[in-house]
Order: sequence, then structure tokens, then C-alpha cells
Amino acid sequence: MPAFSARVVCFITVIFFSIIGATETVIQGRVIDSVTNEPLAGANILLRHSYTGAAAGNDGAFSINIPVDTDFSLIVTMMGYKRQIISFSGLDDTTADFIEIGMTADVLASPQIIVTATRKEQDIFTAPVAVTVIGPRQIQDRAALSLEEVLPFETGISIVKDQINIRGANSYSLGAGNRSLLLLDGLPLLGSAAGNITWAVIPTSEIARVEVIKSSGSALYGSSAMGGVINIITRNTPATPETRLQLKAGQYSAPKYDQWQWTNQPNRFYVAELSHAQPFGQHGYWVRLQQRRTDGYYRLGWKEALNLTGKLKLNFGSRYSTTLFGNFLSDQSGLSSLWKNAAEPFEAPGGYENDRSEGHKLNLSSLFNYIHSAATIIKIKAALYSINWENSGLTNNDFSTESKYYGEVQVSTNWTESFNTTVGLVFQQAKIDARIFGDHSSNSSSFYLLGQKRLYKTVNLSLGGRYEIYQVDNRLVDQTFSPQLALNYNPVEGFALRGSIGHGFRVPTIAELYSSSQLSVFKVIPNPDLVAENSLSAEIGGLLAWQGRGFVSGLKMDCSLFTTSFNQMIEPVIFTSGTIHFENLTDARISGAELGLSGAFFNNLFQTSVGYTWLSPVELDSNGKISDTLSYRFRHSFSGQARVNWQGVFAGIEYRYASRIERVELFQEDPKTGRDRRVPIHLWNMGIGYRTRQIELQLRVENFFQYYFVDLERNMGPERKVVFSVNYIL
Amino acid sequence: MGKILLRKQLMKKQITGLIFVLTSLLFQCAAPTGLTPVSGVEGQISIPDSTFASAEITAVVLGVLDRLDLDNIADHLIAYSEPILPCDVTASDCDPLTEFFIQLKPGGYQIIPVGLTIPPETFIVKIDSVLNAPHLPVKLPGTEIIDILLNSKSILIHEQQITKIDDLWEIEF
Repeated sequence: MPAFSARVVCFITVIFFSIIGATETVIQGRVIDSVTNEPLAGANILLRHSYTGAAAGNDGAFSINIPVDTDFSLIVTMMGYKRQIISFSGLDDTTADFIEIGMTADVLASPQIIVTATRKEQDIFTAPVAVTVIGPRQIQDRAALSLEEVLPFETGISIVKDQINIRGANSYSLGAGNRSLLLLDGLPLLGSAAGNITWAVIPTSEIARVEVIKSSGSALYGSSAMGGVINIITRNTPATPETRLQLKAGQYSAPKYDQWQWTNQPNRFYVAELSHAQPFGQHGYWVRLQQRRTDGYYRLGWKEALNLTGKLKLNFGSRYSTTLFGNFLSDQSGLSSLWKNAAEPFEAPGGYENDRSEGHKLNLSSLFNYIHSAATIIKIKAALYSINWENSGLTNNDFSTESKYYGEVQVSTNWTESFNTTVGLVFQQAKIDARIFGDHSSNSSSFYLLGQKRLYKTVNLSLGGRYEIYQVDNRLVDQTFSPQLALNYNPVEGFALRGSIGHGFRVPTIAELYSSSQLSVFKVIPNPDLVAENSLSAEIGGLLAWQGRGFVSGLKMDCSLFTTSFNQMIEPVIFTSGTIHFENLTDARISGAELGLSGAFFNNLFQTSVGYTWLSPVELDSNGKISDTLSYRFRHSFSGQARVNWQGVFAGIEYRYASRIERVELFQEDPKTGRDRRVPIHLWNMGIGYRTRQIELQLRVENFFQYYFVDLERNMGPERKVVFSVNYIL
Repeated sequence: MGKILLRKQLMKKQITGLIFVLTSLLFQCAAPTGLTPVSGVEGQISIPDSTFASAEITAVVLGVLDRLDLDNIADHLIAYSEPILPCDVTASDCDPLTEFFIQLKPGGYQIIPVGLTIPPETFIVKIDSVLNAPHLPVKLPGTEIIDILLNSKSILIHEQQITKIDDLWEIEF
């Protein structure tokens, strides 16, 4: 650790002493709604092809430094509004121009500016890979208690028992490995030992947007990102002080069938939170306290948690800014892996009724932004993610103490208007002390480089890669270079074609290497000989958006064809001896197609979207022939949503379908008895609400028809629940 | 003004039509019922812990046969319970009384206790090859047909109903 710190400090010092000035002048202006003429506080103004930017204040006013005597453009963005690009010819250093910028509402709501695909801000139409963006409105409209309730309604994303799966890259790995990287404000938020996600850590109500990169992200983000990246961007402090009280409460229905009744008590839940945001001078912060409790819809489904989250942003002039983020979660829950039996699917197995788990999670991070010049920005990131948990139960008394330290330095430079680069160094260190995994440590160091070149004004070429060295217990597990090449063709605004090919890799987690436990009659045993898995992904796709008026107010379409070949894929395998361990399968291939359509009609009164994903996930033998279907994948999945908004009243309906999982690992279907039957998923959610600037009331019913299914063997899917939510801005 | 009113009326009709189509679609698609209550048999079985060592068996399963033909158990085995393990393999405060549940389709069946002479996890994973083996790696409770009959139960299963075996079922191998 001292060597690691010394390297980072040395690098930071070098960067600091290389500061050079630039000749600039100031342009001032105001951002307003083009229809109502109301000022738009919080609108972002960015000098095109640079890292210089500003945010509009309460009155919509802003000022921004621009270089003198050159032509330049300003890009103005605001959530829920269409992006504006305004061009100017050269201004001299005595000019102090004032401009008024009128913004038009964007009926398709989801944000257009993203940061995850290339680690820098860019328009979604110039992204080299498929990106789904979920805005805060989409999260609020579902009164979601957790982000995992929202994600499966996005094209190509599914969740099996808390484990996320983008385009079939993940199977259910007993919670011991993950091919999709979760980032919070650009910093990793996966457990050090198992690479698992703790959904309760994510401050759902403070999310500005969620960006999901659906193809391999290893070229920029390294191991764990081979199956995509989910980057959760938390909101910045609003322009005015804001205190918000939010309460979501509800009840699970009793099972539809009398035979499945398991309690006489109503199963209730609530999430109560109080948040306050305060700008001061150029700075600002928000802090949130949340308490949640659910009885769950099955015997061991109870959970309770206390969560304190805060974000402080300090702006020192127009060049320096620092963001500090802290999140502490104390939680406890019932501990369950299987139901009692098919006759009592909501009951705990006999003797296990009091099994429980409790723990603490602490996430601290800091980001230092330094705009070195209009063309160069330097970001220095550091994070600590610490997890402690302890189980107490009939046969499970495992515990784990994990800490992960993360440091990164990133430099992005616009060399010319058409060429930019992003380079970075990343260091990670993790320490794990756990009964189930043993006492281990891991280290990784990596270097990444991405160059983007605009050709013929319409084609964006991206070429880059990441070199990573990964050690476990000071033993070299892998060193890999993952390159990626991508092309984006953006001939007109609102239309883009993209194609990419990239290498991905993932080193086995500590849990996959060293897990030792018991699951039903099966023994999970370690396999320290596991090696890293590799992939080669290719994708072509297109994005089309059209904005109209009247009957059709807007249309958007995103389609993709993709394929990923895996080499030495790591999957849990049951051996004929009755033991489970993680094994490098010979080869696998996941191909598929995806189509997403959304539209707004009748002057934005009615909005709808549908998404369909087809997957062909197959295991290959040594001759490259298909030998089996990969487990825990949905071949077909579909989601559809419709929504009506009228004078503050809104109503929505959502539907999700996923075809029957064709292969599982533990308990196979038995046609002679009907045991372990698997069915497709059909879920309907409905909601109605009323919204003003100050208050939002919403009533929702999820799993309206009480449809019962299992996505993981012997674990019943969610029961119907009714949620009432109030969001009040004091 | 008149045109705007006309357009608004037309929009209302279109929205009503759209909602009607969506609602119809909803109830069409909502038709699948998903998982429903199962039928089967449940009860409690008592196996003294000493039985495992004395009979040299690793676990006991309750085998369900569609016909009691002791010469062809494998051909008539329809289902089996979760393996019941001796106390030293499970928790320290193990109770010799073990609950069991076996999912079955409606019909008449015979349940017989079967002692496994191979590890229970191997029995589950390799069930097909185990049943095709010339000699089943199992022990039955007794050597005489009468012993086996005394230790077994006849049951009748009805649609979406659980048949309960209420009397204490003690097994000796």
C-alpha cells in the first residue's frame, strides 16, 4: 500500500506542476424555456471540443470562459430538453457578449449526453457502442424502492436473484462472480471477494441518470466489464436549497392460493427518507438519510437498513473542482437460498427459520477535476469500498471482511477539433478475510488509452485498449491487453450507425477461486487453478430519433446485432461426484439481436416504448460445435410500457416477458412428477399519480395478476405488491 | 378555434381507442397462470441415528413407486425425497424426526424407504446411471417382503392436494 500511494502522489505532483495558462475572455448569457420563457436553473453549458463548462443559476444566467479570436460553439443541455448547439465567430478579449438560449422540451426524456462509453462527455449519437440511458423520471415513475426493479424493463437487461445480466453475459453464478461492472459516479462498486452488487447501497432517489454500456467495456474498464458497464451518476446540488421528504409504503398480497398461505400477518414495507441539498457560494452539497424495512413476501425475505449518503462538490474558480462522496449502510436480513418445498414455496426450510445476515458497507470516494486548459482535463479519483457481513444460522455461520482501495488518474486532451485522447492509470488493492473464502489479497494495475478521430465530419473512429496486471496473494493470475476498435457514422442529427469489435477479459474472483460451502446436498469446493476468461465481441447497430409535433411528437429507435465468443468461460459446474466448483468451460458463444422503440404522441400526452431481445447462448465443444445451451439465460425477452400525462395526472402500465430458462444447474425439471417446473415470466405493473412542482403522489401495483414463476430454482419470484409513495419538497 | 376543438375531440377518440386496444391486449397476455399449487405427499419419518452406521448407509431417501415390484425397483421409481442424512453430517442438534415432502402427479403410489450405499449427492447427480446399473447401490428395510411392506406406505394423490401421512413412520434397516 505505501508503494501504491507513493506512485499516485508522484503522478499527481507531476501533473500539478505542469499548469500552463491560456488567453480567454468571458461570455455571459441566460438559458430559458422557449415556450414559457421561464429560466432553466441547472442547464449545462459546455464549450464544444473542450472541457470548459458552466451551469446556469436560479435565474438561468451563466458565464463561461472562451478562447479569444477563434470560432467556437456552445453545447447547452438540460434534462428533459433537446440539446442546443450555438456557434460564434471569433470574439476578442474586450468583448463581453450576452446571449439568450431558448430550449425546446425533449419528449423522449432520456438524457442525450453520456460519459461512460469513452470516459468523457459525448452525445449519445456519437457513442461507438450501444448505450441505454435511464433518466430520473423513469426511476421516479416506477416509485422504485431499488434500482434493480427498474433495470429489467430496459432492453437487453435481466436480473436473476440480485445478479444483473446484460445481453446474457452473466449466468447465475451463486453470487460468486460478475461479468458486468457497476460504477457509482465512475468508480467501481462491486464487492472485492465475489464481485457482487449490494443494491441497497445505491442511492436510488439521488440518481441523475444511469448509463448502461451493453457491449464489452474491458478496453476502458478492465476485468469485470467484459459483459458491459452500468454507471450510476448521482445528481449534483440543485441551484436552490431543497429539502425533500419521501415516503414509500405498501403491502405484499397474500398468496393467491390458499395452499401457499404462510402467515396470518400482513407483509408490509416502507422506505422513509429525508434529504437536503444546499448550494453555498460556488459550492454545494446534498445529504440523505434513509430508513427501510420490509417483511418480505416469503418467510426469510425480511430486510431492514439504515443508510446515510452525502455528496459535497467544491468549485475553486472555473478550473478546479472536487467532489467528495460518502455512503454508509447498516443492514440485516433473513438468510435464504432455497424454499422449503414446492408445496410451501414461501416457507423457510425446517430449522432455518431464524437464519439471518447482518453487516455494514462503507463507500468513500473523491474526484478531483482540473481543467488544465480548454483542451485538457485531468481527473484524479480515489475510493474505498469496505464490506463486512456475518451470517448466523443453523448451518451457515460465515463471515467476511473485505476492503477495496481504488486510485485512478485520467487525462483527456482534445488535440484538434477532430482528434482527442483519453489516457489513464488505475491501481486497485483488495483485502479479504472470510470464513467462506479464506484470507486473501488481490492487486491490479492497469493503463488505458483511447483515441477518437473524426473523419469526413460524419465518421468517428475510436481505437484504444487497456493493459492490466492482476495478482492474487502476490501470485500473477493474469496480464492482458484488451483492445477495442469502433466506428460511428453520424451523417445527420438524430441518426447514427455504429460498429465495434473488442477484446474482453475477466479474472476469476476470490469467491470463484476459493469458495468452500454447502448448498443443499451439494458441496461447493475451491478451484485455485482457475484462469482468466477471455472474449471477443462484435456489434453493429443504429440509432434514429425524430422529433415531430401533434399526433406523433417524437420517435426513437435503437437496434443492434451482436455476438460474443468466450474462451475459457468461468461457470459453476456440478460434477458427478456431487460437488460444485467453478470451471473454465472450453468455449461459449452468445449471439443476439435487440430492438428498442419509443414514441410520444398527441403533444406528449401519451408515451410508449417497447424493447425486444433475442439471445442464442450456447456452449461449444472443442471442435466449435454447439454442445449445450448456457444456463440461466432468457432466449426471448420483451418489455413494453405506456404512459399518459395530463395536467399533472399520470398513469402508466408496464409489461415484461422473459421466455422460460432452458437450462439450470442445480435442480432439473422432472416431467414425471412436475417437480422443479419452470415457466416464462409475464409481469404487469400499473400506476397512477399526481404531480405538481412541490408534491408527487403515486399509487402502484406490481405483479398485478399475481403471476408466479421461479427464475432461480426453488426461489419464488416476487408476489404482488401495492405501493403508495409521497415525494414532498418542503 | 373550431378546428382546434375538432382536433381535440379526434385526439380523445384516438386515445380512447388506443387505451381499449391496450387493455384488450393486457387481458389477453395476462391469461397465463404461471406456477400453481402442486400435489404430493408429506409427513414425518423417524430414523434412529444408529441405523446409518449399523446398516452401512450414507443417507435414506423415500422412493415412490407406481407399482410395488421389488425385482424392478428402478423401472417403477417415479420420484424420491430429499436425502435424509445422519446427524453427524448435518447440524449438531439433529432431530431423528425428519419432515419430508415429495411432489407427485395425481394417482396411486407406494412409498418405500431406501438406504443409499453411495454418497447422496452422487445419487442425485448420477440418478440415470444409478438406475441403469445392474445392481442398485441401495438397501431396503429388511430382506423379506413382509418387512418391506410393513415399512412402506400406500398413498393416493389428488389434483393440487397434499396427502398427509399423519401416523409416526419409524424406519429400521
